[in-house]
Amino acid sequence: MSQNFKEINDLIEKLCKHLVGSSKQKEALKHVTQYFSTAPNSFNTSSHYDETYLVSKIANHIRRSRNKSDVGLFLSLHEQLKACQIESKKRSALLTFLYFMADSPTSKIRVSSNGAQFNASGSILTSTKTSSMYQTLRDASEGPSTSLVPKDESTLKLATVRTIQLRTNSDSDVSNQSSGTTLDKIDSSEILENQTRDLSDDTVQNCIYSFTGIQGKFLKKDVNGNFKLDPKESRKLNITQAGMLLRLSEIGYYHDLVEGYSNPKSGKTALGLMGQGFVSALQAELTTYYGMVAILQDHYNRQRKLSLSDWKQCPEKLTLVKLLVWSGEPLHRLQWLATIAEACQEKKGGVLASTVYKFFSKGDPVIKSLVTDLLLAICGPLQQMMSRWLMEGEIIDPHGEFFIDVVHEVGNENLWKEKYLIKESMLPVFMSHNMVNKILGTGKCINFLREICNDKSVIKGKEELKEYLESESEHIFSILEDTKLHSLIESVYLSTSKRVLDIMMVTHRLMDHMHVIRRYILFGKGDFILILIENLKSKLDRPASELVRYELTSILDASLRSTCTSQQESTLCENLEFKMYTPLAGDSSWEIVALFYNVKGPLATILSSNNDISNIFKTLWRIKHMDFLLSKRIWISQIANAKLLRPLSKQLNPIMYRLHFLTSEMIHFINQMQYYILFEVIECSWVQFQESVESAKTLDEVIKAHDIFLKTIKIGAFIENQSYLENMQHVYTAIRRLDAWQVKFFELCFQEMDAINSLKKQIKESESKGEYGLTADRRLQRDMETKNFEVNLISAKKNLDKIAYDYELAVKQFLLTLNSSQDQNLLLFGIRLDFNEFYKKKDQRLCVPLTFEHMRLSNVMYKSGYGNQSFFTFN
Amino acid sequence: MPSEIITLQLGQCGNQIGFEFWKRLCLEHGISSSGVLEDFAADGLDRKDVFFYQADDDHYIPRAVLLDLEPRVIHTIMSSPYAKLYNPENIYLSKHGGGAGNNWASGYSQGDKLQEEIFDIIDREADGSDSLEGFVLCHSIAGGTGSGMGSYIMERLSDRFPKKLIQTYSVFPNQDEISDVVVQPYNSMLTLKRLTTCADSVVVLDNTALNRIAADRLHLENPSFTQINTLVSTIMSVSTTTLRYPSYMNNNLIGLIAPLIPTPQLHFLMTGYTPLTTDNDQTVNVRRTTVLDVMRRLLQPKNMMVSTGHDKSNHHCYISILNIIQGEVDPSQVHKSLQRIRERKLAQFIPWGPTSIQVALSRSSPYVQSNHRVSGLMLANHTSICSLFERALTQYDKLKKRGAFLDQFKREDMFKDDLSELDESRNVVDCLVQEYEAATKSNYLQWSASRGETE
Repeated sequence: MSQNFKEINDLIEKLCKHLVGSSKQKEALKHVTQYFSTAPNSFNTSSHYDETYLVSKIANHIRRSRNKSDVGLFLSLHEQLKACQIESKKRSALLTFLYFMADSPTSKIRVSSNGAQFNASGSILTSTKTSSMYQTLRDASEGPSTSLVPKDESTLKLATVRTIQLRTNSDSDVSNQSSGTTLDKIDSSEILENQTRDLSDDTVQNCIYSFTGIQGKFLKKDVNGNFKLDPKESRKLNITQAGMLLRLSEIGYYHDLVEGYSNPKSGKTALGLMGQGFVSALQAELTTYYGMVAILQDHYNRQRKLSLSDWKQCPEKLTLVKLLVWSGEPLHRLQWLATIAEACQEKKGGVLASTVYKFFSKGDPVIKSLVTDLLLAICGPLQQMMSRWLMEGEIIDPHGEFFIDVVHEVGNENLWKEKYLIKESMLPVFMSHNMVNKILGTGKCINFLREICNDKSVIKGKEELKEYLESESEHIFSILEDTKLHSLIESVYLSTSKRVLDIMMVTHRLMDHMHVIRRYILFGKGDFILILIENLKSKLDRPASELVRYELTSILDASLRSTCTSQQESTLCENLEFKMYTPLAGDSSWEIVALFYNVKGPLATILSSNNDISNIFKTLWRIKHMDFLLSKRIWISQIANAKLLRPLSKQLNPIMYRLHFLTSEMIHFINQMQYYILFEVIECSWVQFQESVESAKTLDEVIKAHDIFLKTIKIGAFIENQSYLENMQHVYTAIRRLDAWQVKFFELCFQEMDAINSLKKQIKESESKGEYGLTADRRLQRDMETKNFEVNLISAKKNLDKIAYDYELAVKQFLLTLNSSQDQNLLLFGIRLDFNEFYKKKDQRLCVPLTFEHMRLSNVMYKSGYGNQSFFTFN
Repeated sequence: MPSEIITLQLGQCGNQIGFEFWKRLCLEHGISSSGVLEDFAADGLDRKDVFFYQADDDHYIPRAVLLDLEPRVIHTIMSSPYAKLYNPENIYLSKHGGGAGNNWASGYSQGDKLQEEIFDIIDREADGSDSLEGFVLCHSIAGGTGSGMGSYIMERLSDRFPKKLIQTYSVFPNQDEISDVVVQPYNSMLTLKRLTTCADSVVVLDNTALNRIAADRLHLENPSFTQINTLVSTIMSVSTTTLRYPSYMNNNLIGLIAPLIPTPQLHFLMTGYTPLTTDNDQTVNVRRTTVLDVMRRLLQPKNMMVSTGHDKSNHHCYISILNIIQGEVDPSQVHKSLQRIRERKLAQFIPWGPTSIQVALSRSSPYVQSNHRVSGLMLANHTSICSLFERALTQYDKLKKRGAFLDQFKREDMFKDDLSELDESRNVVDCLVQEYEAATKSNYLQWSASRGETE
């Protein structure tokens, strides 16, 4: 108490100033402080008085100071108070207050005990009865609103206001008349009272006007729409009334705002169907509010009707204070409505819902229920759209509000991947991505089934979801996704997906198709590829321009026939087709063909990434072609010719061994490369792919697994890595150069062999004829031939060395790139390529730790490596 | 276009291992002993046409030519349940039936005399195939028919079919027991020359090692011919499994052997197989086999089907390795195993070129039940194989120095005038040994070049 003394003193000082005005303030203050000093416990004990004791005290007091009839009035008032069923504690507090007010003999504050009591009890009445009164008001307002066309709700307000005005006018007439007739009867004090009454009624009326945004005698709007006191009229008002009026007029301001946001003509409303829902919710709020105002007005009118004498006894007289109490809740509501509506200006769809939803997290339960009402109104159209989408897969969304968008330009072939998209901007925040994806998936599945699979079977659980969507719409913005609605969506999604998946896996045998792709396009069936290469080589060795597609097709068919397949597989093999690319300059026929899997219908959705498949095929095809060149052309003719050319081995050995070495190096490289790509990349990812398909619950998971499968292969087969590709290209070039070189080389050797043989034959013939030896010319010719051969051998050796040099450079560069790779698999592949550390011993850079400097150097080295490479030709 | 392979079985040994081989193939492909496809194998995705062709009545006939100079083994085959399997026109028995008397020269000259009839059969078979890839010869190098006639046929084949591969499964004699064939060192030397110069790839089946493995690993005290031949047929069938059950790679014979043979002379391959069990031995299989286990065991000398003797200087090395792995294999395990082998340096490789352990993952027949999760065959080109030739050289030299048993040879045309053929053969084999020795060193290329210049 001592701590707060100063504060209390200030407060009391202010109180006194307010009550008696600054002139008598000091005197009043003195009395108050005296009172405090004489009765220091009055604060604490005030509420401990017994009610009956107080009543008797007050009655005594009235008897002493006034006449006896007043005592009766007081007692009857007390009975009324009791009948109000207020808590007894409050009642006694009230009585205590009244008693002390009356009891202090020196008090100058002129308070009518009756009035005060009435006011106080009235305020209590309002506060306790507000909720129920609100309800009745609402009920009352719903009568007209239902009878009116909803669109014209704004006119309803006008109508109500008009009726209220009419009534007030007639009421005031009546009161004027009555005041006129009774004027002479009343004494001066009564005139004074009448004046007060008129003033207070005027202010009350003005307030009620202002509640609906109408200007009145005292309250006028400024340019911003704020209510201001009319300077002339307000002189009549005392400071308390003026303050209260201004406070009450606040509600009118917010009313105007909300009205603006709910009027489509204002251009500030939310847009679209969901916006309309929002606007109508606002209007409904306003209607409720108007109903309440109408009841106030009605009350006021009745009060004015009462005759003057009755007025005193009027049980529920409207005053500014009462209005203030009444206005608490509507003001709160209107304030929030205005805030929310302001945030929602010109917003639509999901954005609108998100904006409103942001207010949902407010702690105030009133606001929460208000926001819930608004959200329900907003989500109505959304729910219809969702229901349509989830049931039929249709989108009816004229205002672009739905979070799923359909791209009409996309045809059915891309339906799954591209036709339906999530519109992020229209996504309400209360819907998680997980849920939205499921909703998207469900509708997509329905469309997919209808458009592509021609499947019209009914998916169970749909009806339940539909009913639920319509009845329990509140669940849509539940914070946790654990409501029945969510689980229903989930289950419908799963059963629709299951249906699609079943169609793909069982009806259309997806995995059988994938097996065919793996075997025939991804080289799983090595014998088929070998046969294909064997059959195609004569065609593909010709220039690219001479290639004809139907020839390829017939060869493909022939190759398929000579590969043993099961009946089922050979049917699927009919989907295999050759694709021919337009040849670029320098492309051989080998490089412009690719197999792809041509499939229509539902499967195309998954297997449509034919470009990837063809690219992978092309890469594998090139490696296999190199393998073919190396084994079936280069190696086999070396082995065969080594036997035939044995007589020349003395001269040829240095070149032959160089050739063998280079060939075996190349075979090793190509073999390791093949092994790596085919087993470690394709086979390993195939195993993973199969696993993910088996565990997949939805088509999207299968598509994802398929994409990953292709992606892994593309990365593993270096299809998208330019530096690897370039080095591989150099390796391939070297192999082709070697092939060309070897053909010429063996031609040269056999020429020499033939020359030697024919000479021997000549000698033999001449011997048999008994002639002796050879002519000098013939000898000279032979010497020349030998010399020429030796010279040619030297140049052939040089060319071979050049090929070997270029090849080794390319391999080394490839190894360096692998070595500096971040990918563990590629590092290991590098180790595989150099398993016995042959290259490592030759090139110190391969041992150097992988620093940036090293990587840079190896790059520079490489760039200058290729200067003038040309295909080998004999002079 | 199935890349057909024609099998030639010569002599007693060749026909015996050939017989086991075909038995095995029939079992794996679900073909009955009379060549009819069993019902359960009707929809198999294997390639039968590499080794078989179908007759007009759709039964399967092996692309096999059975040749012998004495009737005993062929008669056994013809009285077995498999008699109807073979095309009777492909069985050639010399009319006098006297055999070659374990004499290389006799076999060789009889081959010469009978060549027309023999090559009638071979040409017919060759013409009957779309894209003949090569010949597989089964024989032993020590006897008369297999070695002598085999040598003759090899020479002719490489003349007539220069671009077809000639692969042989050559049985080398058991060194641990005293042979009743006294001229065995001569026979071996003469055959080795043809294996070096005419064949493209020789799979060495060393009887010494086979018997040792049968005794040590399979705990058979006196392994019978049949038991040894079962081992051989396993090796033969597994080494052709990638041709018959094609998958990503190594689906033709050339693709199988080209990576193994870097220079034409060094084409003698050894084999290893694991895990080895006999039919009646179930106790061995108590451990769980993994890819690493298999690959590691394949590198152990004791599992090698070639007895190379102790390599004291320890300088010999692998020129190339191909592991054919069958069973439930996760490809990623293979990589880990290779890493481990490299880290521990379990195998020593040549220093003059890049090489590594190649792996072929192969499907296996669904009709043959295996007790093992994973099994593996190794085909390896290892320089230590020259110790086998060195041994042959030593034995030859011992005999030749004394001039022993040469009369039998002199009776034949080839050796009527002089014995230069013997010396020449010795020279070729000696060169081969030298080349294998050279291949252990990093200057192999320079060595081969200089040899060309000095010779």
